Amino acid sequence: MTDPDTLDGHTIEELSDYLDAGREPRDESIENSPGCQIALESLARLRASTWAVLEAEAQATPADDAWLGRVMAGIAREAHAGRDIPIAAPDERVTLAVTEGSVRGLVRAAGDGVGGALVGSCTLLGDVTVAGEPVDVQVTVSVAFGENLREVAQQIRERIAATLALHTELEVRDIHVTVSDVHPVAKPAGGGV
Amino acid sequence: MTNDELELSRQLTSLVRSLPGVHDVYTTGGLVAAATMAVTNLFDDEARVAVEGGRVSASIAVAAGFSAPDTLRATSAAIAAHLATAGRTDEIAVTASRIE
Repeated sequence: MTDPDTLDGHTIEELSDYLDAGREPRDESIENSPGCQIALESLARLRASTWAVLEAEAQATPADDAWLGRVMAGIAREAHAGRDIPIAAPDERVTLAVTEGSVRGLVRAAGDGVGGALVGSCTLLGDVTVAGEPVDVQVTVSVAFGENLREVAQQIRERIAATLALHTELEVRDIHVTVSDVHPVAKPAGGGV
Repeated sequence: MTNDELELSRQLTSLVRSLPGVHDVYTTGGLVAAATMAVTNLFDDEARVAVEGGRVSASIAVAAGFSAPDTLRATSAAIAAHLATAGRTDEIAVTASRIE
């Protein structure tokens, strides 16, 4: 039985430590797991963009520590393969699909970094296993302080729509972007600004 | 898998890995399947495409810059062509488990 709290047997904390160690020594059970790979990519983006800021903020205000934990848990939860989303096949003996986890990874990648945004969660609402069924995408994001929230939300919506159109055949009815948090702007390495 | 299926799996894994747009091929069935295969001495890292009971299953990562649907269709077409040379008409399932 699959453990919902782990990705192919690895917790998000283990994956975070593995990333810290420069992915050395190489762990085949992580490198050969698509779910772990999706989570590692999300964690790497998280750190590259806002990790230092969020970590400092979390230390300053304990309430934010819980939010960070939720983001990390969301990454782990959403990287699971989930449902199979059908792709039109050339004949009836062929079945093609993209996993829900891979699509959530795409959505997260599309949203991360837009206006310093960080995707907190991504949910595909509707029966994605049936071709042609309308699907809504629900995303929560944290946006960098000072950004125009409406513009950032619109940019994220457009990027998600473009990536879903390229990589899936989902009938996307609506993309809901909710700004659930605002975080400080990351200072460039070396300080100054 | 029989020995013939294992050899076919190796051929198909190599074929799928070489296709444009395919970044990686994963063990079908995830790590539970891989662990089971390891215990039963059936695990072969070069045989990741499952061939069993008239069905061929592949799980792939789609490379950046490639469309997932196009890559999936090209992969299934390449598998079908390879099977045809052996006179086989297995069902084919290809899943994109990760998209870069």
